Amino acid sequence: MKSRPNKGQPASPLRRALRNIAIGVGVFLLYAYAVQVTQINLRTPLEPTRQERVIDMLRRLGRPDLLAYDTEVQALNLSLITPCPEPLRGGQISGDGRTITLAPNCVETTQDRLVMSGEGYPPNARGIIRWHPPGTEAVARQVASFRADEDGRFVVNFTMPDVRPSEEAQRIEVEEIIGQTLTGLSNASEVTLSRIVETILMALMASTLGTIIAMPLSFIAARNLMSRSGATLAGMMSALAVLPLGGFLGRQLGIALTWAGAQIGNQPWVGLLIFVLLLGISVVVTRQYIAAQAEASSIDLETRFAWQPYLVTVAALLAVAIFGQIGLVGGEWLREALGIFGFLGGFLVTLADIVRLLLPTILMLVGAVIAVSLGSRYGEEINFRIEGTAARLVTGLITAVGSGLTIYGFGLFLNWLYQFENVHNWTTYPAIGFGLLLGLLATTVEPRREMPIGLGIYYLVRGILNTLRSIEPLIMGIVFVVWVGLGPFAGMLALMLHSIADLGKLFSEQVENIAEGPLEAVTATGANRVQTIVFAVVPQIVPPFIAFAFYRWDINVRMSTIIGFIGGGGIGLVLQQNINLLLYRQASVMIIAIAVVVTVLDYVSAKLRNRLI
Amino acid sequence: MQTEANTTNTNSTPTPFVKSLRTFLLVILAVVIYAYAVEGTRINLQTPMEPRRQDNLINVLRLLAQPDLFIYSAQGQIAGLSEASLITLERIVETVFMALMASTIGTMIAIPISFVAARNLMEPVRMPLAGITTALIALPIGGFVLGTAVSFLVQLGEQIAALNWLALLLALASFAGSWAVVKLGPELVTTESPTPAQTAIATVRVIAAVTLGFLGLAVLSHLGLVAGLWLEERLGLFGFIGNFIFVLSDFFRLVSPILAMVLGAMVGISMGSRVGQEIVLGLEMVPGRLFTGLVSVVGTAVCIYGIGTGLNWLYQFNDPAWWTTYPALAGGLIVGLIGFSVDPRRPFPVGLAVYNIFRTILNLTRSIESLIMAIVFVIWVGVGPFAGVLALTLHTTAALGKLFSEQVESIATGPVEGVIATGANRLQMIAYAVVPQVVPPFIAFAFYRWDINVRMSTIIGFVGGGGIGFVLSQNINLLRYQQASVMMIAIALVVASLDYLSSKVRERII
Repeated sequence: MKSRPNKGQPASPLRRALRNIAIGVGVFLLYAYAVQVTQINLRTPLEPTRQERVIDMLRRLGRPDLLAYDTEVQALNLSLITPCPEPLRGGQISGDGRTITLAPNCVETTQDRLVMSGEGYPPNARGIIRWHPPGTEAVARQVASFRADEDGRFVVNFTMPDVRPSEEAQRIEVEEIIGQTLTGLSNASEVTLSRIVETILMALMASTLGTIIAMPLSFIAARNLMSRSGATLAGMMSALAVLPLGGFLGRQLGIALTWAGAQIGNQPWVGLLIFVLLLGISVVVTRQYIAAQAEASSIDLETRFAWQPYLVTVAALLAVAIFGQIGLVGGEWLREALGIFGFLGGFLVTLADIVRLLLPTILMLVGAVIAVSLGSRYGEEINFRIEGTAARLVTGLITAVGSGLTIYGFGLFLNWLYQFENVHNWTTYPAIGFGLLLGLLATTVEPRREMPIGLGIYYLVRGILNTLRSIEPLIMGIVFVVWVGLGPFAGMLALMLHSIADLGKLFSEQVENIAEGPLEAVTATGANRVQTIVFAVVPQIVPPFIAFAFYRWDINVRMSTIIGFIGGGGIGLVLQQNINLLLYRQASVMIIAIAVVVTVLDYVSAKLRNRLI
Repeated sequence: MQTEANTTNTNSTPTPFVKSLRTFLLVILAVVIYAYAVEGTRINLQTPMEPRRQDNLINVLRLLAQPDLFIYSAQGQIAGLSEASLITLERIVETVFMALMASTIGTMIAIPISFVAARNLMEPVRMPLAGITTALIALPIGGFVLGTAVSFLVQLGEQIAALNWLALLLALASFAGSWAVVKLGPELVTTESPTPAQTAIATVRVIAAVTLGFLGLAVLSHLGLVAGLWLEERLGLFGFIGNFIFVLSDFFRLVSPILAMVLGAMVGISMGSRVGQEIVLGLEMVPGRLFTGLVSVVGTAVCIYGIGTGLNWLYQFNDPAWWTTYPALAGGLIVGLIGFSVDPRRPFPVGLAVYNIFRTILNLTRSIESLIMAIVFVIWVGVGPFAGVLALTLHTTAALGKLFSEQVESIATGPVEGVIATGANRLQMIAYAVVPQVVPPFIAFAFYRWDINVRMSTIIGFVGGGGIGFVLSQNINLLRYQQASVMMIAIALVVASLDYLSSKVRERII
């Protein structure tokens, strides 16, 4: 047999057989190890005690506690002694011709088996056995249930869910159910209803906010859009150099606007008047501008509308800032005035809160983006105005300043996180050292050479998205619970963050998949980058974006049913509590609700997706 | 504005007024929904800004940023991996293997289910009422016969296995016997149409061969239990191989009677439906009606009685007869009357009914997160990775069953028609026309599911299902954030790299 086949020819039978054997052995070992590690053991599930437990659970899950009954009961009381006296004894009580025996009538651990037998009951009588823990506050807990046979006898084996030693005897109540009338939904059903609504709303908010934030991110994380943008070193570095300045100015503007808005909005009616006025100005001027744009040439537009865009921007920003204050006042007022629609007022308050708290931050970001855009443009201008050694020197200088500032800022962040002993070792010194070094290196580069800065950003954003995406929302939820406390808000934030990362990646892949034709056509008309995105990219990606947003909404609904396990609100929290307290009939209601809601929403979203695309 | 345009035809596009009214209403609706959602999710931006809470968060972030990766010697040198790192390594392996087992087992179970849950395969399955009800009668018989036979063989195997070395010889002998029955004598599968006698002989030979082969396997599985334990002690580091043999043998011993029961039920359905159909097609109108009515009574009664028995097991009714015997009799009579009154040869869309039942079960199971299933399995098999594997397997089966069946539904019909045109039966059609088309998407979905399972297995420990989530939640509850950080980093690394790997493999395979 040929054991050495030529390249490009199929491997000889011997080799192939060898390879197959090796793969077979590898797979065998892999699964052998997997079985060991995952502790798969078929005997455990078949152990009689475990089977009994699971059958008991299934039977109780099979009877969801959906409806509330008014039960008429007749009770007999026995006493339970904890801890056990010496010697062990039993208890007995009779009444109405019924006799109950409890043996032993004491427990020390939750493993101790108690046997209760009764006789003299009507045939097939049903009832429950409750335990009243010591202390006046304690709520009675159901420990077992019984059903008499044809002769009115029953024997029940049970253990105590909890053992609380006490001086005096504890009460064991045996309640025989005499009659039942339906009174409405059970407590568990009502809790389930309110929690399942909370669950759906969490998913809705997380999906909406996540989609909104993921959209701009996806353009930055799309390779085809980013690989086009390059900049000369000088442009890049001057952008970095003015970035903090822009951010600072934007933030100051935001703070000033918030302050002004608060002052004006303090007198609600005056504030409302000014708010409406400013909005009116913005709308009117914008309309004029659009109308003029339709007929006039672009040069004409620039001369006729030199100051209007700025006016609109300032007026709109001030209006938003005023809203931050009057929304707060008005929302509180509406919350009380509107009765059951008070949540509309609450919504207004939250919106106003968002404006007030986030306006400086958003303006900081906007300022930074504007600074980057201006900085890179003027940096490039410099490069194209001067040549030779002068250009190299200028590039070197700008690089030194830009990289120095960036490293300083990064060092400040690290120091905030790690709180180093010597701050300068992480901020000033590396900033100066690397700034100078990079500045020197920059002088060796051809000044007009384009650097693939877009690709750098692409890799950075994609890396962050992929890392975030790999951490489940449940783990993120833990951190958010530490921050904002237990409740649906923490769950919503966790789901939102994961949605942003996931949708950011899915959306950007869609942007990467767009057809090149429209892009080239729009670029050929002399459109700039933003116009290209608006007229060539956006129309192509709207349908897949909607489809993915719905897909994510599905995932979020599923996830929000379990995010309560770590305290993130929704139905998961109560479900887990019920199961831990062995209240399977209540848990069953919740599991059914989850199954129904998830299935229905799944179906609805599939239908909607089909219609929209 | 243009109010006169209000009365345009309903077929044309709506007027501007109607459109703006609709938009307005939609906006109002959206505002109300989101306003309620903000209230319902208790979004409150003041909470995260409280200084105390911010301090809390910053403290946690600072601790998370300093993962407890190494232990240091007195000189500040790295002296080795910290305890948290070692635990993380061990648990992350457990996590990945949990996902592997669940994906593998889930895929294997989902494949046959997906064919039953595919509309295009099931829709043409139609049958006269007599066929359906005869199948219902034969179902429990088949399950009982085959199940009992296999349990008997397994027990016989246990008896033989007590002979130790002799048992090994006997097992080999029964394999050889099985081989001999198949190979010696005339070919089992011939192209010529056989006489009834030949068919009978061939059937007996097949049964004999299968019985002998299975007996050999049964003996081997009992020997495997002993050998597995022996190997586990001897092999040291590779003791897991012994454990694997033990678990495999155990699996065979415990599960084969159940599988045989299912298989027997399926054979019962197949043979029963064929027999019922043949009889009814061979009969005249009136005897056909009589026959259909008779088997309908019996079949329906058996079916309802079986369901009632299952319900009674679950609910333990006061008077089981009200749930088993009486409804069985009543239902049997009603369906019997229907069977008598319809045209005995009229085909009923039984395939569609089976499809709908399977799809509904899959959808409902799929909608319950594996974490919730894990809680139930933890109660059954105890805290640990096994519970996690079971929960993930169940969810994987349901999810893949649906995805796979959708793939089966979207296959090209050309090859199917081509194969049917050659006179192939249903099984051959699936093997030669459907399977080649669905293998690539099946593999892609299996890998996709493996991704999801890796993610899920990192958190299934939160409810006691094993893997890294268990220790992670413990560390967080104890406020040991530096240790938790190691685990979060490990999760991010493993999930991201497996994601990358699986997408590469997927690209190569398809």
